[in-house]
Amino acid sequence: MSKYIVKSVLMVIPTMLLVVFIIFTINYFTPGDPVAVFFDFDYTEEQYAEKAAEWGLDQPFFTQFFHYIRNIVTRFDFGYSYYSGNSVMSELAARFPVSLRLGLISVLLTVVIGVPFGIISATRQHSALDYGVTFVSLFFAAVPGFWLSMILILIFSSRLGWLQSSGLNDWTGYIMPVAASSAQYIASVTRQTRSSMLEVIRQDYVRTVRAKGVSEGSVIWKHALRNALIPVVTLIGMQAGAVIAGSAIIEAVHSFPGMGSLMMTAINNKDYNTIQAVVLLLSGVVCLINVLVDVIYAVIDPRVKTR
Amino acid sequence: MGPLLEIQDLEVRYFTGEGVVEAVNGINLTVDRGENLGLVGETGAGKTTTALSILRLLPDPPGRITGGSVRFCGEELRAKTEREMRAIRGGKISMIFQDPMTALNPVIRVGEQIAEVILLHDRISRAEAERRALEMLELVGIPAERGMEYPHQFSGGMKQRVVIAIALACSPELLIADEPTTALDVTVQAQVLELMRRLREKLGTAMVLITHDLGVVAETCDRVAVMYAGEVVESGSLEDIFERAAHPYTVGLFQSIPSMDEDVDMLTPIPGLMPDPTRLPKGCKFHPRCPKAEARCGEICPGTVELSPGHAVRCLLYGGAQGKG
Repeated sequence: MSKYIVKSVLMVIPTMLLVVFIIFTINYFTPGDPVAVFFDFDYTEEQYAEKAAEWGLDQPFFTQFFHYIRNIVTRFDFGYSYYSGNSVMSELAARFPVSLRLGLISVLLTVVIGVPFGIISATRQHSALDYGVTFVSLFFAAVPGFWLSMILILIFSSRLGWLQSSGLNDWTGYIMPVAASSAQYIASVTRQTRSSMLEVIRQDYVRTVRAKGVSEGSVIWKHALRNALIPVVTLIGMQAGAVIAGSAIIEAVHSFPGMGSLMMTAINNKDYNTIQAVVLLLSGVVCLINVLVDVIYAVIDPRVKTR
Repeated sequence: MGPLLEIQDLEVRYFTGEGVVEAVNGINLTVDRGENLGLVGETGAGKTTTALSILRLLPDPPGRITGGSVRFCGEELRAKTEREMRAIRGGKISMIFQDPMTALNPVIRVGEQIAEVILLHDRISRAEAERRALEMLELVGIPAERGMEYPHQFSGGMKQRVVIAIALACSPELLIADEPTTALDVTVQAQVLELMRRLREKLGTAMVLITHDLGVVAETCDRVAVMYAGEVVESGSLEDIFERAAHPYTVGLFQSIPSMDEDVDMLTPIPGLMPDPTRLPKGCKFHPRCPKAEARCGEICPGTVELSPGHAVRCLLYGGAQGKG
């Protein structure tokens, strides 16, 4: 088991290096001049050269690249924001925990709501409850998150005045972004759990378990669920990545100060260092989630380790 | 003391979108204590459905028992509550399924899968149940330390041994074995059958062996019932069926397999296919394929006629015209 985990973790390193290289290269060759943007296109020759030298932009490509990696690895230094002039790290430190919290809450909601409803729906297939769950989950799976954001704001802020329409002043600021970003995933996890469960409860080994005299609850929760969860874990992992990475549009609608809105601002201002740092951090998060998903796989299904 | 298992006029239907499948149509079977009954027939004859009905494990929907009775130790199983049935399943009546490759839960250690059934039916501690589970493993010829392993680490034959260990862990009075060796290699088949015979003799368990392999029946069973299209067309002792087969279908079955004693150039298969179970023929269900069919066979449904004590047949050739339709 520990060997399996170490292997999964080590696989992250080459992936991340490749990501850094690709992002850096794309940014390097993208048209647009951060120095010009910094001076708002009003600068002298000397000012320009001085700023470019300060940011290391006068160096050749590979020198810049290795410089960049060395600073990240040794000092967690992602350079300065070309736009605000602050260190990128301080921006990330402010934004990332907010997005992380948003992501974790919505993953938690997805698991707590989606999985049980999927199971109930599957074990009472063709009942009114099943049809109800299927209808509601189909609806939310089809509705885009940003649309749900706007509707929520319309109802709970404009009409009822219960929640703030934008910003994050206290915990209530999380309610609508969490709801908007998790509804779709709760719906798809419900549907995935249902279909996966329906497949598993028709398996021979479930019949064997019933023939042993095991109670129906134990058949479902002890024997069937573990087998049905594998595709569900994949889906939840993907969701966690996507939500933490910032549902940029949803965050924009709610003026939610997370990674998504940070990235949008950075892109609009050709703030290369920030873009690079955000993309890097998010790929790191996605890689770690993948490791976590792999480990959960191995815990759920012993066959995974031998593959 | 009456028979261990007594099935009377059992009728099972599958209600599907394409129509009602008449899977089992009024069969009668008895199994005495310690006895081995072979249930023979082609794929689709209703053998597995009959077995699942005994344990009330039919997939519902679409399957449902629509008539008849199943009595075990004199008690009607159809009248039992689900909780009472659970005490019987795995405790008093066990079942072994056809495909050992898929019969075990892939994510639970085999030792625990055996211990589970013991824990459910015997009032003992978890540690004791685990110890007994490992004993069962040894009994079926698997080293106890492999109880910590998962099903995918076992071969097909080993898995079937584990399945047998689960089935016999609580010393049931009746074992229903649904084609227990069909999915195994021939050499492994013999080992598994021998193992089952040895354990059953030790525990005094009766068995219903479902198979389409007449060789296996000849080796293991005391009595045989031949099923066709959801009916028992002939039943009797091993000798009755193997030496004095009366029903044209049974005769056809024997002609379609090679014999050790006679040298024939060509085997004689039974012409045609099993009828569509949603549209069974009128009269005798075998008449469209029967070499001896007469005009009345398509009209009258034959009743059961006893040729000699214990040897019953359902065919108009032997009378039975007055039988119920």
